[in-house]
Amino acid sequence: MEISSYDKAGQKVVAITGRIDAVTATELSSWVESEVTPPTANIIMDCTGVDYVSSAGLRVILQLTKLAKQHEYIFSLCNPQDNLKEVLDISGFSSLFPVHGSLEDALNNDD
Amino acid sequence: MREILKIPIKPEGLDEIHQHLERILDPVEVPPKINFKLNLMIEELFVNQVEHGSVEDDSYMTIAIEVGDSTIEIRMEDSGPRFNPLDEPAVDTELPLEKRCQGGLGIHFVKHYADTVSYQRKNGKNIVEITKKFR
Repeated sequence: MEISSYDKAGQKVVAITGRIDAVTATELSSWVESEVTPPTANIIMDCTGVDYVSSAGLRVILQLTKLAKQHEYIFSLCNPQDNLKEVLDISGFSSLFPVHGSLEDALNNDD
Repeated sequence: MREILKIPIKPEGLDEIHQHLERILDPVEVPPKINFKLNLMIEELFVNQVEHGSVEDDSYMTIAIEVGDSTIEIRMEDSGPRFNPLDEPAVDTELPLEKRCQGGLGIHFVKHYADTVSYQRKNGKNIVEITKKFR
């Protein structure tokens, strides 16, 4: 798993590549604690390059969602591949935060 | 075809599992979607045991993977204390954000994705079996 983040249109984009499993989710969670806590902008997780997510990965997504909300920012996720999309639906996470089809939509907060 | 893996019950065991699965599943042309679901289910059951098993440092899980003509059968055994993951309370997937807690999603996925899943305690072992059709 690789994490890269940058600011775009006043928002924080976190782009992840690879697998988010129980081992890498721990790294991602530490990264969240050191790099985006407290958040200073909306957080967009770009999942274009994510090919695998387990429940441990979803826990970090939940952590991010709660963190953003506590500080009155919005967490959203963009471009999930089919497997991730399905896991978000089965867990009911799709209704907890906006899921966008592209980064552009996420930046504009469009459906 | 039947493969038996012996994986140390610690977080590092997970990489071994994913690597073995790639090696076993790729040649039999398991569709990517099914491949994902098998990896996910095995990870969730393994990680559950790492977290709840309170097992000895040198303990391991035996994972038997049998690839049939159209179905894959997986049997996961460990010698830890009695722990039936299927008894975990169901996750309420409709709760609002504030009430969402961290646990239980892994088993929720296993129950959702497996064609069959069962638990038994036998000869001091926890045995979880799952089956999944792949073609």
